Amino acid sequence: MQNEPAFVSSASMAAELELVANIAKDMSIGVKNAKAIANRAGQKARGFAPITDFIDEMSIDTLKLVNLINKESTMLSKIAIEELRTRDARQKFLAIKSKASGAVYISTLDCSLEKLNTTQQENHAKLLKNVKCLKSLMDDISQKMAVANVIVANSRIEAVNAEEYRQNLETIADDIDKSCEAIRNRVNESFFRLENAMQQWKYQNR
Amino acid sequence: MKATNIYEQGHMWVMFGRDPDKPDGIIDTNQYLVKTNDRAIVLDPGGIEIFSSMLSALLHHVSIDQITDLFASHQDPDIISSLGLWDQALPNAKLHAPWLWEGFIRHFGLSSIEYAAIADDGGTIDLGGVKLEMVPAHYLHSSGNFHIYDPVAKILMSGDVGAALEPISADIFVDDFDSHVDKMKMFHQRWMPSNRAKNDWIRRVRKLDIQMMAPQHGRIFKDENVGKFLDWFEALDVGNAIK
Repeated sequence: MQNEPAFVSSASMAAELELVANIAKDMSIGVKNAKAIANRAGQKARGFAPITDFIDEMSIDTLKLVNLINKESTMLSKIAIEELRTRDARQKFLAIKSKASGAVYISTLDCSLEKLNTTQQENHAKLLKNVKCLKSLMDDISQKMAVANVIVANSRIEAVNAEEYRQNLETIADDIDKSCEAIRNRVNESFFRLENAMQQWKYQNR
Repeated sequence: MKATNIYEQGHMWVMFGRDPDKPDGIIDTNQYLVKTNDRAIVLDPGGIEIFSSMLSALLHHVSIDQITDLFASHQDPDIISSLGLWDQALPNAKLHAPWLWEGFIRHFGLSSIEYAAIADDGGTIDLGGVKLEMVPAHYLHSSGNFHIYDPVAKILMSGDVGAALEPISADIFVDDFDSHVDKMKMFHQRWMPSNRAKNDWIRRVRKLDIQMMAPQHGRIFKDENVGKFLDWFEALDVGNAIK
């Protein structure tokens, strides 16, 4: 992963986050199950119902965020490819300028080179904007997961009072905890890939 | 890359090829420039690997803004995989290429250059008064394929027809036709799929007044060697991979 090109890192990131979407979907199903149990438990699990509502909402929000991140990381991959092609063309044109420096019409290449410089600058600006947006979306997910940690801790306390439903509710709390942990890991992994993509890009543009 | 003027009378034909900087393992190709007073077309501009050598060589003969047209006889990578780079160099140019391959050739990268699709019957490119005819050569070898005929210079740019597999040290023109046959035989038998297409092309090409037949690989045929090639090709059984 260390030396993979930016367009590979961003495409891999999109795939990585697709898995987060699946976890969030599973979490949403798990929460519906928890709601049914909390309803059956009635007064014994009265503290559990708002918690399930919150987790349900959080999994829907996470899904929305993942979809947005997916779009942005696919866009990042496209920009990175465009950037790579422009850079490649620019390097080739510069090599031609040096190789054919004595050619009668060599100066007529300057206009194309100038356009490539402009395109490259535009691509850089787009890339930076896109990365900023991606980081902010990933931050949002990470924050949601941090809140989820607190909620899971609360739900364990509520489960203790649910008597014969206690074990069921504890299992549900464990599942949510595992899902949040998996999401956190995936997002961290994606963040690492994003950082790597940026480092590669900076290295190639020294 | 070696550049050879093959015609200069009012307008100009230059052949580019025999590239010593070409990476090993890729087939040597001939590219052609037709230049008039204020415009120029590059015929079968070549693969991505030779782009730098090709453009460097071209700039000795023509300015960037003078290259208004490109022509791709068919879709193969050695013909036009450099398109994405030409697209960056010539944003206002036109690419004349078979309609059949438009959706495929665009995969090489095309956002600025205009794709001028050639209909099956061919057509004419008017290069500032010099008219170049696009002659159908379907199935020779590609299913959508054209050659370029210049009736003033009497040159037929014949794409893969007449091609020979030779090292980059090979001469530009065929001198001894009989000894050249061995270098062409397998290429034509294996790459050309249809005797019917071949014979139809020969019938039409015999009606043209040709002094030079310029293929995309190998050597150029001049004068009587053009007729010798047509006779040899007519007698050759092609599509020999089917036993």
